[in-house]
Amino acid sequence: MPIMPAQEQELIRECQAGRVDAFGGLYDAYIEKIYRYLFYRLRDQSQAEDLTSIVFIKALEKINTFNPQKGNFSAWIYRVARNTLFDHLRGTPPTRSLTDAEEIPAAHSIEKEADFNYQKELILKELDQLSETERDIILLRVWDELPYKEIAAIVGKTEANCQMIFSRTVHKLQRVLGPGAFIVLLFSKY
Amino acid sequence: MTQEQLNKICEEIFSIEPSLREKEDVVKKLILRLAEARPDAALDSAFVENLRREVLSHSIRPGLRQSIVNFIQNPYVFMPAAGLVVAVIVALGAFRSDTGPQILTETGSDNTIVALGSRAFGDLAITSDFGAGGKGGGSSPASGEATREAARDGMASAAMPAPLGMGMRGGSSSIGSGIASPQMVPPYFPTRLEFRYNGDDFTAAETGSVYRRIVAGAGSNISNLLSTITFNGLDIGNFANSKLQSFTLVQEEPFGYMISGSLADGSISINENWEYWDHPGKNCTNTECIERAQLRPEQIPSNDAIIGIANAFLESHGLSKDGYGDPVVNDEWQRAISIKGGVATSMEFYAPEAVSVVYPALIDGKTLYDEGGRPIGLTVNVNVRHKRVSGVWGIMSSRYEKSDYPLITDTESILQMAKNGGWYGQPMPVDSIAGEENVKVVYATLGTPSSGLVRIWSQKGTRGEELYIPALYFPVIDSGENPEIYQKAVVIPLVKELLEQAPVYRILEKN
Repeated sequence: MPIMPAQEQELIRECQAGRVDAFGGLYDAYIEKIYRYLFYRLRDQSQAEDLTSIVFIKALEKINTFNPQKGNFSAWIYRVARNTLFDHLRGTPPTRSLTDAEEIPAAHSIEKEADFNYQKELILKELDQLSETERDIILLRVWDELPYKEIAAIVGKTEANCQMIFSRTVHKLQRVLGPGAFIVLLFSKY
Repeated sequence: MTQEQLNKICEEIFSIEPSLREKEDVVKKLILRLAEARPDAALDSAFVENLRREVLSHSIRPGLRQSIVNFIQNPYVFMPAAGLVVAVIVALGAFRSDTGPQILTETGSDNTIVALGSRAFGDLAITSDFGAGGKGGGSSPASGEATREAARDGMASAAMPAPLGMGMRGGSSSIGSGIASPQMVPPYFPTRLEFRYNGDDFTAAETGSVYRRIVAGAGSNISNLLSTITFNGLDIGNFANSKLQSFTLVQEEPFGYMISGSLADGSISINENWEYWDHPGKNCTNTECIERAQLRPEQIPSNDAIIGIANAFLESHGLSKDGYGDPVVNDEWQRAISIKGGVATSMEFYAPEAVSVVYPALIDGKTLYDEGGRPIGLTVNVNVRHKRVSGVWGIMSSRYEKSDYPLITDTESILQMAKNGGWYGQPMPVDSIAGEENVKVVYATLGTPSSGLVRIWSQKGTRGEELYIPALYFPVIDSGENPEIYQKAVVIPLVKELLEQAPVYRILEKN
């Protein structure tokens, strides 16, 4: 549910004034985004839901620590989600890698499953090999479709740095995927 | 991913890695495949709904900016947490804490009742002019507070109906009690209210417990803290043995509050900082402007919605509802409409800016009433225009001591007092109301009484104290659809030595 910046600011002000019900508007605006963010990285509906719950309860309880002068709410709640995810991954080794994606029926339509091809598998395998930050920036930009400004606020780096990491990681992927994949990619349809 | 997004991402890459432009097609396909590898994340709508409910049932923790305010707002400043015996030293560090409110001294546990020997409070005495219920004025938070805002905002109207029978006996109304406009002279319609009894036989115990609140008295500790501070060279610490008795904190921001604490009686109240609460009629200088700004009755939210706002506020500010009964909305304002036949046409109907929600105090499981039979306890005012809580009263210690006193056992006298409207009632015939003609008599029926407590002020010389004494609560079960009857109950205090001081009892005894 899209929300106007001014409306978002008003809701935050109301929350910070103690009105819990105002948080409902923020919840509606971000529930899908945060769930998707977590699901893309966990590939498990149940775990993604559990962590989404933790993120929103944390966000509500700590809304008073959010300072609008230091950044926007979107970056803040994504950061809460990212920290929650990393805490979870540190405590519980991930049971699925990115290449397990096609094995999860709930996450894919039958059509998508059938279409899951070799190139994607290669890419996902390589994404698994990337550092946490590299993978995070790639996914935040391509999957979550966030602008660099927000990505920078989420991962705690400068905008330019994020752009640099993204570009170099794409370059790296292009190199490591090798000539074979290169040819496949070049002649594949899009 | 759209072609536009794809191009944008690629251009960003090429601006950093120009060499990749030579392989633009490959890079584009790579990005596209990355995007396509994104799984479908189906969001379960039931999960979304359930989580929403769960999240909104949690409380917002205070941040650094609010820590001082919440430090005081915390009821445990004066009400030590349930089951806990605490002795916490106040330190300036408390104000720097971002981990939540600090507890301010005292020992004991919440909702504690300390039993003392018989007649431990000495002789009980009442003052002749105390008692909102019998005098026609409204002093209870339940009835009076919500109307402050209307009075302040200049919204009180000369056209508002005054409660009929006002000034007679047996109660007050929020409609009349909070109106402060000097041009308001309520029309006087002499009306006499008579009660009939249609309940079961009842008995009265020989003794019952009188309760008194234990005040925490945290003032000395805060004084110690303040004594370390110098104001413009004035060393507060030089004033030996001084104690802080009250304080006020002010939030200077939109919808800010003023938090006032009385350390003398261990109570805190929260009021809107009216300068920061917007009101369309704030700068009105004429009636038309006021009329335009006035709320219409249909704009008042439902009672459930009002209770929801009050509950959310209490929860988000850590104000426990333990020790209180189910909330009751004071919707007396609606009576004005029923008096006029339910037709809302203009300014003659008072749609209040704020409506009170009362959480009746429960002491030893008994509901506490004022002398007019209204439940009293924690009162939350909800500003219906902004749908926000604009005030909270009655935040105080729920620790009591109790002592047994002899009660009146003569049920006939009790019933007679009930029929006369309470212990301030005057058992006078209609024609003895001097100088009044065409006195209208209206009747209400009382049902079987239940046990409760009534709050009284016991005055001994220059010192007084609030006591909660055993009482019988006679509910009005039938008011014959007389809009003049706004009283919901008649409460008869039962402590013998107090009743013997009441005029009605003395008259009854003579007869």
